Amino acid sequence: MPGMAPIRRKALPALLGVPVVLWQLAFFVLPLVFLVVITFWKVRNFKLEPAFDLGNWEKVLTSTPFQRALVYTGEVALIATILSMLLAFPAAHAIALRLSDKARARWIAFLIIPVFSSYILKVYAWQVVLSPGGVLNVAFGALGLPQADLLGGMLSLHIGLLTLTLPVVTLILTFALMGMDKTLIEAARNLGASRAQVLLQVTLPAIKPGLGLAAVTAFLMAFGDYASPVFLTGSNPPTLSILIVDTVKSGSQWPRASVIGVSMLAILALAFVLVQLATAKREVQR
Amino acid sequence: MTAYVRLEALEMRYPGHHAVKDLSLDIAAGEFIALMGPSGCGKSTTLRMIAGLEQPTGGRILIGGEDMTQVPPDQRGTPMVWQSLALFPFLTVEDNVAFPLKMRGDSPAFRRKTANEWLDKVGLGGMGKRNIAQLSGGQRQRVAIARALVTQPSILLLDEPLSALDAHLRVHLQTELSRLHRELKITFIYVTHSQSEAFALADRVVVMADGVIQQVGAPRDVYRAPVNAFVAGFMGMNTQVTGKVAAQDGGLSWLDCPEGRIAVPASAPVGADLTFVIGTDRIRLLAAGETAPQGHPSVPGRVVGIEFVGSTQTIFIAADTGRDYRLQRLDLGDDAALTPGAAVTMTWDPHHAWVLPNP
Repeated sequence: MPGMAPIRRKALPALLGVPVVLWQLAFFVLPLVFLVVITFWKVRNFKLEPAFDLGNWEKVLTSTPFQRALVYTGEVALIATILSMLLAFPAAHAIALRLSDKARARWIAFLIIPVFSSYILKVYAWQVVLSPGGVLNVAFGALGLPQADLLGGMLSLHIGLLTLTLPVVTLILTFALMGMDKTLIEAARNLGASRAQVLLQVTLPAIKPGLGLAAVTAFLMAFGDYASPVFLTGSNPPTLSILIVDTVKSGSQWPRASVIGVSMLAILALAFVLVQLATAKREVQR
Repeated sequence: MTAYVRLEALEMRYPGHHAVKDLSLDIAAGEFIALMGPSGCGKSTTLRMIAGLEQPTGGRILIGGEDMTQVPPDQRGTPMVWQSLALFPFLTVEDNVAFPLKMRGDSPAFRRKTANEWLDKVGLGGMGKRNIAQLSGGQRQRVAIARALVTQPSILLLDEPLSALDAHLRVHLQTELSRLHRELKITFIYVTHSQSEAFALADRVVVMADGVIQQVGAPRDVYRAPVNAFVAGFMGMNTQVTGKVAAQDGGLSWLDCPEGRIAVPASAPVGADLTFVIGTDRIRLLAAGETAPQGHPSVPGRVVGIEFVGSTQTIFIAADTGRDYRLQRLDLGDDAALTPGAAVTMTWDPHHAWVLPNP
């Protein structure tokens, strides 16, 4: 506006940002702080009591179920990350570098839709497909094949987790590849690189930050997931997310559940920082 | 001339676009040849076909007598320097230069040694450990050139390599490229839209328009004797005068045209239509009271404006016939009277006019 004072013109963009900051403070930072505080509280007669008690931490971190669940969840998340990266990369490569602009836009839409559709619903659907009396086994029976025990193992768990991670990971890798300078690929070919050399020596290094982001996202999603372990493995063996729910249910142990939750967040933060450090663009040497 | 690179009836058709049409060209070993023309004339597509980055839809490409048409780009030995340079941002300067050596499997020690030798040759000695982002535009250009030459190829392809640089740097690197070409004695194929760049560097220039070669020749020949209106215009001779031959006199034909009766160096039958151009540096202004020498044209007009180009100046003149003329001459500081609107008379030596063979 022509009559607007310069000070107001400067202040306005900052003011517009305030609601988001308030929202984050109220619904992310404060609950997080509360979660950490609760880890030191005590439970008496199924009621929470403020205290400063390190016993919750000691009890949880030294307990065998927690340690087992930690290792198991880490393994599951790591395998899910590797699987989704291996499956997503060729698809992303084709979408970003091989398709026409029109076809690319269609495929990207095709990948975005699953991200915004109910994950629980899809996990239920997998349960129906994989269960002993489910779609696949009925089909096997009709074909005279033996019944397969599909539900309740690593196979069904990773099918569920891939349903969650694959579209997101494919999208991140697609955008990373779309953002890279295509002339680099031509230049590498021109300078004597075979197709395999281009992939290993040029394309992958060029999208290293994108690879890191995709991997860390897959890991975060798989590590914290609750639905797939519950519905596709029957909570056995339990993951950390399941352990949290169990801990709350058995004797209202909110403080101990919070210890598990805070530990998970710490591990995820650590994974994020490590990947960032490993894939950050080369620092400019002075 | 024995051709080192031979392009035979090259064709490139894209859906809805015929980029290169029946293009044949022989390039000698060690020659510096420039493909020039406006954007979209097919010059870059031709270069990319030589490199194998585009597959021609027809014709053949021979290099050193070998048919390369179906050979993949990594096995052609035709390194290229891009306008965007296409340096690998995730590699150091040294690793960028050593990249082609690494691809063909040379040892790390050899790669380091050779890459640094080339960095020395292009004036970047000691900068091998730096990142690309730390270099200036001119330094990056040198890295790209060193990287393309590190395998000692017999051909170097350059696609508008200097277009992204400022004028000062461009001239500097032109000299550098000339020196490299003299020292290496390999074939340079250079694509540019800049006439001055092509003329300054190339042994021969190839003028292209609409996917077709218009003219091939030494810069001076193309400049003084353009074959058609397009080439003449591309050389800056936009004033093209058409007239009917009215009389013959020795080697000259007298044309009847709007500017009057003007002599041109051609023998054509009376009644034929001829189109001639006159180089902007061949037109002269008559001094006050001076008349044109016998047989020289005398074309009156008015000054439209003057443009200074350092030591030379371009004078824009609208002839009384309505045609626009351009005149280039040394800036002698004697132009006080040449204000817009001032009446002037142009003349030139009829032997300097050039009749277009295919107007």
